[in-house]
Formats: sequence, structure tokens, C-alpha cells
Amino acid sequence: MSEIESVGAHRRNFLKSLALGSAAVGAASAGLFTDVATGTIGVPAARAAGNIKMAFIQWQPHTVSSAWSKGIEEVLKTQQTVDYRLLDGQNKVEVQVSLMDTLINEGAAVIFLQPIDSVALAPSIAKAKRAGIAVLTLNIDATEPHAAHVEMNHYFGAMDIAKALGDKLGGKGEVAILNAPPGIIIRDQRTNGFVDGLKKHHPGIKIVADQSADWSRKKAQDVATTLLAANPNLGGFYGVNDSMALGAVDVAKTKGLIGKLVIFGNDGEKDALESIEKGELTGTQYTDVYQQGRFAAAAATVLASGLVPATAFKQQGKLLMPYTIATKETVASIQPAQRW
Amino acid sequence: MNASIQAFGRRLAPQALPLAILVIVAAFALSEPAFLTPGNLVGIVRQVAITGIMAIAMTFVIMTGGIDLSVGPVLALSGVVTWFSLDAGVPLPLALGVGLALGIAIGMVNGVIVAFAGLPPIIVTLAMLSVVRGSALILGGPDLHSIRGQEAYSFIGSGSVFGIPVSVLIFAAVAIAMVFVQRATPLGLRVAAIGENERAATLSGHRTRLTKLSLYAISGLGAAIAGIVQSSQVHTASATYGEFGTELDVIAAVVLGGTSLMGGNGSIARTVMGVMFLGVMNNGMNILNVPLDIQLIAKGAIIVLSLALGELKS
Repeated sequence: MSEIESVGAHRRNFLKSLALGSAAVGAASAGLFTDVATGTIGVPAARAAGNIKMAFIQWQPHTVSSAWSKGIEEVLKTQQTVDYRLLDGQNKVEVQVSLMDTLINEGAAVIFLQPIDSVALAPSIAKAKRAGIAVLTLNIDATEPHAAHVEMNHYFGAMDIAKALGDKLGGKGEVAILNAPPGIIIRDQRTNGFVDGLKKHHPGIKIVADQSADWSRKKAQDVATTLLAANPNLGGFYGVNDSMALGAVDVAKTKGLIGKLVIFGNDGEKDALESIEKGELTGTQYTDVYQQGRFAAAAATVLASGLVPATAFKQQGKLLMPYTIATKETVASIQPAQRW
Repeated sequence: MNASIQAFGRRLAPQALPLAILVIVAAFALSEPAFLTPGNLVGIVRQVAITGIMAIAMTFVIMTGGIDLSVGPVLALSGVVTWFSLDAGVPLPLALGVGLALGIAIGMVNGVIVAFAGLPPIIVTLAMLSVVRGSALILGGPDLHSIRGQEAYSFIGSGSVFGIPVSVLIFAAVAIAMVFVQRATPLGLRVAAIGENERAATLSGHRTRLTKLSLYAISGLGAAIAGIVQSSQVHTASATYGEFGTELDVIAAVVLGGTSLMGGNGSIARTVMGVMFLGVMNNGMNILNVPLDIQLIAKGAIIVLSLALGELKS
């Protein structure tokens, strides 16, 4: 490449990144005065002209999505030919839609998406598909078929939780569910899996309460306290996420019920695993979310480098993540670098 | 006859909220005896303590016709900052001081812009909500930061004195202090004066701007106290706490207590009652294991019904 060409390429890329930047600002200002910071992090924006672009549009800043992004970035960086960035949906459908538009206009090769709303993002996914862009969804599927969906094994994992919880209770007794409010499919999969799992493996166990604690540890403390007052014979809790299960652990601690109450969570976050090691939380379903990001990135890289356009798919691909039911006996097998 | 019923109604109307609380307490107690156990009653107060502290601190702001939408992120930021301080080995009193001072400082910025630049509080504090959330995320990232080995700090949220949780005692202390401020200090009088007629208050020589500034500082302080209590209760600090909707719960409690969003009317004691009303309702619905969809409908209906009773006087 001659000196002049290279300067030209530099200028083009500078202009390109300027346009990118202002597009991002535009998208951000669409959600001005919103509750969540905007920002892009990731592999620095385009330098070499030949690089392909990939981006992940997350729901909002969260431990899980940031671990996905880390896993994705690990794989994509190694390829040396991919520019990757993380974009924030600010917990707003319209922001995600406008970020999708931006990426489509930029000519991204792959979009990783954690849709806030399975239905509302469908038109954007269809638009991306027409442009040949492969869309991979993480954890939350969309109604419009796309390249692939990579999700935690919510339903079958929850069935296994029900089995493990029932085993610890000796196959009988009363349990309560610390649930999330309806609205996302994960909540239903994790609840239905648990209910069906109990029916299948431990029909002698009765679910005496099913109350929402809004995914929150604080709310779970409140709800668990109340449920224990109403159901003095309660033998266990199932929290559909770890934060809520840890809320029940907090209550068990203050009431001296550690060891008596069987408490299971779902997710497998760092604090939950630590609590299991201390003998407080009974167990949880652990998924390696870094690995989930890596799997998604691996699929994306194969598609992009093989020049497989989104229109080539006969139907949507699907990958369920492997998982471990972490209990005191199995938790040591989860390495520090796998914890999130 | 008719006139005497009306007179009776007029006398009863101001007591609509306490009466409504009594009625729902009786209803819950009859359907589930466990509702009235001391453990559950203390549990109710513990459950509302965080929202309650913020609602008490925001009552004055709302009484002047203002509003503070930034409390959720301030709660998060004060938790995160206190966590970082403790993590860095700063002694507990100083770490708490840093968290609280930050809340006051953010409140003062709100107050300066509202009182001296004359911008609408709803816009100013909405912008502040965004700015503070962003700052908290820069500082803490999206992660949950576990608070470990800080026995004294954990005591704030999880400890109890003579069987009463410390968070309940803090809530009570804040309530008593603010009732005192409202009833027995010049600040309480000035708040009422500004709410009734700000121009008249200014013309009477009151320093209305300084007063307003200090009210926003109090609201920020309340959010910071709530943030410290919450992070200590859940043994975790996170920039994402105090999620969107927190401020609405707080405002709902204040308004339910009879404070007018237009300013003027209002009382700290009644805000406490508004908070308790919401707490009793949530707890009762949980204890009866009412499904969430029905809960939402029932809560909305009960709130409107009890507010309507309060409006009977007109």
C-alpha cells in the first residue's frame, strides 16, 4: 500500500469511526435521561479496512451480560480480523431497536442480541436478516427466526434442581418458590421446570407458596420472612435466581435455620457458590456464562469466515448450555476462573 | 339526619388513612392468624424501612411543590462508595461519613439548580438520576460487590437490639428526628410557608432559596442512608440497585400520606403512615399467597379506595 493510499485509508477509517461514534451518541440521546449509562467497550473500533464488525447489544449492565461479552471478546480477539464492541440497550426496547438499525447501516457481519422483548425486536431481526446479517440471541429468544439461539438450560436444569432439592428433603415436605414477576420467558422456564421436576421425581413434596420477589435479594428477604411466618413447617425455598435464594439464606441465618432449610438458587454466580462452600446455600444450577459467550462467538466466527449469510438458514439453530447442579459435593469442581 | 351524617363524614375524612390501615390489618388478621405474630409485625416495619427513610426525607421537598427523582441511583452510589471505602481499609465511621456526605452533596447540587437557577425540579432531578446512575456504573461496573468480614457494617442491616432490627431503629430515629424538625423548628414552618405560597414567603423575608436547597440536601441524605442500610442488609453493593421505579414507590408513599404534589399540605407523621399502609398491604398479600396478577389489581383498587375516602370532605 502506498503512502497516499494508507493515509487515505486512515482518513476513511477516522471518518468511519467518527460516524460510528455519532451514531452511538444519537442512539444514546434517543434514551437521554434514562436510568442506565451508555458506553461502548470492547476491541477498539476499526483500524484495518478489511476487518469485519460484530457487536453485542445487551439488555442493561449486568454480571451475566458482561461475562458473556468477556467470553465473546476472548474468542473474537484471537481471530485478528474482527472488530467487536459491546453496546448497551439501557433496558429500553426502542434503544435496542435503534442500535440494531445503526449496526445494520454500518454493515455489521454478526449481531449478538439479548432482546428485552422477544416480539418487539422481531422486525429489527427481520431487517438484519434481509441485509444478510447473522443474528445470534443469548438466553432470550425472539419470535422472528434468526441464525442461532444460545441459552442456559433453564427448563431441564430446573427439573434437576427439583430432583436435588427433593432428595435433600427426603421426598416429602413443603417448599416455597421465590419467583420473579412474569414478563420474560426465563422466569416461566425456570418455574415450570421446577414444578414439573417435583411432579416427576418427588410427587410427595408440596409447593405451598409462589410469590414474586422481583429478582432482588432485599425483596426476597422480606418475602421469605413473611412466608416462614405463614408456613412454619416450610422445609425449603427455591429461588429462580441466586440473589433471591441468598435472600432466603440471610433470613435462615438470622432465624438459626441454616442446615434445617433446604435452599436452592439458579444461575451459579460467584457469591452463591461461595455460600454453598460455607454450607449455607444448599445448591444452585451453575452455568459457565463465559463459555456461553465463547460458544456464541465460535458459532459467529465460523459463519462469518465461511461467508454464510443469514438468508442461508433453513431454520434457526439452537444450543443449550451444559450445566452443573452445584452442591457442597460438586462445587469444588468449578474452577475460580469459571466463576462470575 | 343527612346533615349529621355529612358532619360525621367530614370529621372522619382526615382519618381515612389510619382507618384504612386498621381495616386491612383486621382483614388480613382474620384470614391468616400468622399475620399478627410479633415476628411478622416487626418484619413489616423492616420491609418498609428503606422506602420509609427515603419517603420521610422527600416529604419536605414534595411539600414545596418539588420532587426528587434521583433517589434510586443515589441509594446505589452511596452503597458502592461506602463499599469501596471499607474495602480500601477506611474506618467504618469515616466510610459511612463519605457515603452520607455524597448523598448530601448530590442533593445540594439538585437544590442549587432548582432554587437558584429556577429550573423545574422534575427535569433537574431526572437529569441527576441519569448522571448519578452513570457515575455509579463507572465506579462499580455492573458487578455485585460482596461485603465480607465487615461485622460492624453488617450489623446496620442484619443486627438487632433487644429483638428489634437495627434498620427498624434507624427508620424510627429518622422519623422522630424529622417529625421534630417539622413541628418544632423554623425550617418546618418555612417549608409549610413555601408550599402554601412561595412568593408570599419570599416577600415576608424568608430565605426561600436556601431553605429549598437544604430540603433537597435532606432528600439526598435520606437516599444515602437508605443505600447504606440496603447494601448492609444484602451484604452486597451494586451500581444497579435502586432500579427504575424505586423513586415511584417513595413518591407513592408520600402522596398516600396526604402530601399534595402541588405543595402546601403535608406531614412527616402521615408519610410514615403511608409507608406502613403500603407495607401492610404487600406483606398481607404475600402471607395469603395471593397470585401476583391479582395482587396488582387489589393493590391499585385499595389505594384508590382509601384515597377516595380521604377526599370525601370535598
